[in-house]
Parts: sequence; structure tokens; C-alpha cells
Amino acid sequence: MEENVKMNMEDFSLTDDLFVRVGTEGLSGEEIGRKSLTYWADVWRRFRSNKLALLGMFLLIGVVVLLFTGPLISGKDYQFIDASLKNISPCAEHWFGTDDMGRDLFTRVCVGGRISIYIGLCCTLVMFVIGALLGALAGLKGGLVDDVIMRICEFIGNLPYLIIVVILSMVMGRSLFSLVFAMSLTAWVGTARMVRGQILQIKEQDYVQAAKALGADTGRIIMKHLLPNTLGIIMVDITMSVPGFIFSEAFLSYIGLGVKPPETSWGALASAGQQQLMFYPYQLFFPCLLIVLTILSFHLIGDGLSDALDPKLRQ
Amino acid sequence: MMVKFIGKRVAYAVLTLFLITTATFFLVAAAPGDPIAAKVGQMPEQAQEIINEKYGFDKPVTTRYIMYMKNLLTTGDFGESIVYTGKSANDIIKDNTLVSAKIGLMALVFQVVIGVLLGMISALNRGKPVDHMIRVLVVLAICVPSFVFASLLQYFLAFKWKLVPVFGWGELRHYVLPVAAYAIGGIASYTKYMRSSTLSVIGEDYIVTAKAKGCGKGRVVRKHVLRNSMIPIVTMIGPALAGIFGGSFIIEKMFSIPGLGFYYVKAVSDNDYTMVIGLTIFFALLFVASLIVVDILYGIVDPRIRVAKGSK
Repeated sequence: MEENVKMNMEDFSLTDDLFVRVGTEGLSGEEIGRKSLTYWADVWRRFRSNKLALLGMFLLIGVVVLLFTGPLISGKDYQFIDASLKNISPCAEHWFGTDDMGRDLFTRVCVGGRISIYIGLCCTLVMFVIGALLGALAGLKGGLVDDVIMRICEFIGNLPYLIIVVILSMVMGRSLFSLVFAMSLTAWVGTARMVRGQILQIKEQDYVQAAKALGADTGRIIMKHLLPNTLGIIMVDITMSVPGFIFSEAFLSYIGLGVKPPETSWGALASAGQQQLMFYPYQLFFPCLLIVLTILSFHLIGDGLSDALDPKLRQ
Repeated sequence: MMVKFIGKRVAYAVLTLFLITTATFFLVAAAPGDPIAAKVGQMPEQAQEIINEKYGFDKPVTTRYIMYMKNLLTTGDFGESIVYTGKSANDIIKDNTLVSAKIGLMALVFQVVIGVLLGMISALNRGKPVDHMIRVLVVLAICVPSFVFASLLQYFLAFKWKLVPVFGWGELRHYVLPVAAYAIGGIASYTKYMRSSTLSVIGEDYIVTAKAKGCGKGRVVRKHVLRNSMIPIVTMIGPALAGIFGGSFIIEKMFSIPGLGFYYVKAVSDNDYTMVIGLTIFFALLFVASLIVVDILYGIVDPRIRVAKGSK
């Protein structure tokens, strides 16, 4: 050992090969290895890796495709009454059987489902537009505007939801419009509060301050920072609201305030099926199966989304 | 501070109630369909006039409204039913509020107790088969509407296996089906929230501290995990308490239980104006009053809320 050192000391000279980098050949440290992901690409990546959420998405797509192509495949009319074919159990001709008036249940479930989902989506849309706009306005403007909007929210939040819906449906008559109106009238309050809270929180974040300091105008801050960061929770809220509205519609149809015949919906079908439960259980089973599958898919998607949007929530 | 807070809430509540009463009155008056016409259609003209006069339908809406409010505020009388002569909304309220309250409260107790237990079990056994089983059941229970549960329970427990009577009212065994049907959905959502709440509490530093100090597992769960993870649940109980009377509509209708919801739905389908208005006001009163009670209770349960309010 000592010999070696001594020898090295003796013929010590600086040669070029002493300065060759070792172990970094072929590596490129400065190069960005993976394409940088945008926020939504990242969300989609995480959502995609969640098997349950994907299942929910395919389930929902499947249900929707079924609802729109079902009547074409079965080739029957959902209002066609055939008195000789009352209460037939599921068979090759009538996949879900027929109801107490001899109408093909499969076609009815498909057509009714369209209405149910349509109502769910419409209510959610109205709720989201009003809620997000007012919430954002309250959060951004502050002051008097904020006060007024929050007082209105407080007032509406104090109303018993179901009673309002029942009264409105009674007063406005039974139409799709009155249903949607009644159900979304009180529902937007939650969205408005949530969006306002989120905006107030984000507004004070450092990156927004930094953007301001760098000279970004209000429009840019809204589009680049506030909107993308609130969109996440709004999307989760939307996926969770649709099933809620579908439930409410089913409830109203069930107590006789919902969709008016000859139109039908899952709630109306389930209500009709419930009266036949003792003798023809399948008439309740099929509408309910579709309700359950749809709600399930929305829940799975919602759960997946909220996990994907907020890594902190992942446990 | 508390007195001022409560005073403000009560003032809002009174305003809300007044607005609801007014709005309901005019909305119902504008509703399509005429219950009086249906009732008096075949009567001689004189009788029609007498009945119209009795309910004030010969006067304009505003006059009727002022009369109604005067009557309501001085005597607390909601007026006589249009469809059932001699019965008033007050009678219905007097006789049937307790029934709805009993079912609702029983269901709520089951929801919270079972939900909290299942949620804790699920969270403490995270990733184990028990957890998976509970989560699957919860998702199923959330996705099924309550009237479907009610039908299934009715079909199997009462019709197929004859464990409990299908209809009838009065004895304890009659409560089994409606309370069970009412409670299932709630059990599922309480379980869900309790699970995630417990999971987040388990990761907190004070749990690690408690463990590090040699706290036994049972004690950690009871004293630290349970107490802290209950806070969000308590905030959920509030609105649930307020919603008790509204939530039982379907169940009462399905099982023909003589509760408030049953009569309300009936009044709506009968177009029984006075009943609808009277019961709506009463429902609103219950709802608004319970919201205030809940707000006060929050302050008592969670000191942090009290502090936050005090500092405002």
C-alpha cells in the first residue's frame, strides 16, 4: 500500500485521461426524460390506473348506449299496448317481460331511462351554471355582492328541500320543465358555497400572488389559475349530483308528482313495478337494476375522479 | 355572543317562515285544478255559494291571505280541510307528528350507531376482507333507492317468510320494516364518511403520540380515534335531524303508516289546499327550528366552532 502511494507520488503528472468523466457515458442528465404532463393529462393518467373508475366509465357508456339503441334492437314501441300479452315473464320475445298493460318492458326501461338521465343531466347543468357563476361572483367580488349572494344562499338553505319540490311540482303541473325547475331551484346553493370557498382559498395562494406580481391581468388569472383549480371539485360534485337528481326524480314519480304518462321514467316504472311485486317481481327488478347500474357507475367515476384530482385524498 | 347569535338566527327563521307561508299560500292558490268545484259540482247553487263563502273562495286571493294570516297568528288554526269536512290540519298534526318522529328518530339512531361501528371496523381493518366486504355493501346500499329496499323487505320478510306483519300499525313489530327500510341508505352513507374520517384521523400525529406513550390499542381507538373521527359525523347528524320529517314520505306511503308524510302526500294528490298549506307551514317550522337547535348544539359539541364564532 505504502509502496503504491509512494510510487504514485513519484510519477505524478497531470494527464488528460485523469479528467475523463466516469460513468456518465450515454446518459443525458439535462434532458427531460418524459414529456411533462399537463394537469388534466395527469388526472387522466391517475384516473385511468383506477380500475374501478374505469369500470364505472365503461358501465355508464354501456348503459347509455343501451338506452339509445335498445328500442331499435327490440323493434318495439314503448307505448304499444297489447292486451293479450299482459304480465309475460322475460322471454326471447320480450327480454324484460311485459307490464300489466302488455307493453314491452325492455323498451319502456330504455325510453324511461333516457328521461331519467335527461332530467339528472338537466338539473345538474342548471345547478352547476347558476351555482358556479354566483359562487365565483361572490368569491371574486367580495363585499356587498358577496353578502347579498350569501344571504340568498342562507335563505334557500333554510328551506325544506323536499317540501319545496313537492309544492312546486303541484303548482306548476306535471311536466319535465317543472320537475327540472323544482329540483334545481334549491340545489345550486351547495355548488355556489363550494365554488366561493374554493375561490376565496385559491385567491390568496402564493402562485396567484406571483402571477399578479408578474403582471397577469384578472382574465388570465381566472382562466389559468382559478378555473382549472376549481374545475376539479366541481367535476366531482357534478358526477355525484346526477345520481342524486335521478333519485329525486324516482321519488317524485313514486309519489305521483313526477313524469306524467304516457311518458315514463325509471321512477315511474319502479313505482308501477312495486304494485305488482307480489306476483311479478321482475317488473320491479329490471327498472331497479338499471337505476342501480347507472348510479353505481356515477359513484365509481366520482370516486375515481376525486382520487385522481386530489392525491391527498388517496389513502 | 351566543345570545346575539341565537337571536339573529331566530330572526332569520321567523322571516323565512313568513316568506314560506306567503309563497306557499299564493302558489297553491295559483295551482291548476279546483278542489271546491270537484266537491260541490253536483250540489245546488245555494249550497255551492255557502261552501265557497265558508272557505272564502268568493273573495280575492289577497283578502283570503290576510284573513288566513290573521286567523293563523291569533288562534294558530290552519283551517279546515277542503276534502274531509270537519278535519283540520291541526288535528292531523296533533295526532300524527309523534308517529313520524318516532320512526325518523329510531331510524336515525340505527343509522348513526351501525354506521359509525361499521365505518370504524372497516377503517381499522383497511385492506382486509372485512373492509372490502363492508365497502361493497355500502356502495350497493347507496345505489339502491329506499323504496326498492322497502319493497324487497316487504316481499321477503313479510310476504315470503312471514316474520313480520305486512300492514297494520300500533305495535312495536310494525316498526321493524319501515325503520329498517328507512335506515339502510343512511347506514351506508354514515359508514362511508366514518371510514374516511377514521382513516384520516389514524394518520394524525396525536395518534402516533398516544401509541408512543404506551397507550393500549383499545384505549387509542376509544379515546382518540373514535372521538376525533366522530366530529364530521356529528355535523352530518344535524341536517339529518332536520330532515327526519321529510325523509319518511315514501316509507310512510309504502307501509300506509299514519304519519305526517302520509297525509301530506295524500293532501297533495287530493289538491286539498288548506291541508297542503297547513302541513307545509308545519314542516317548515319543524325544519327551521331544528336547524337552529343544530347550530346551537354544534357550538356545544365542537369547541373549535365556538371559538371561531366568538372571534368573528
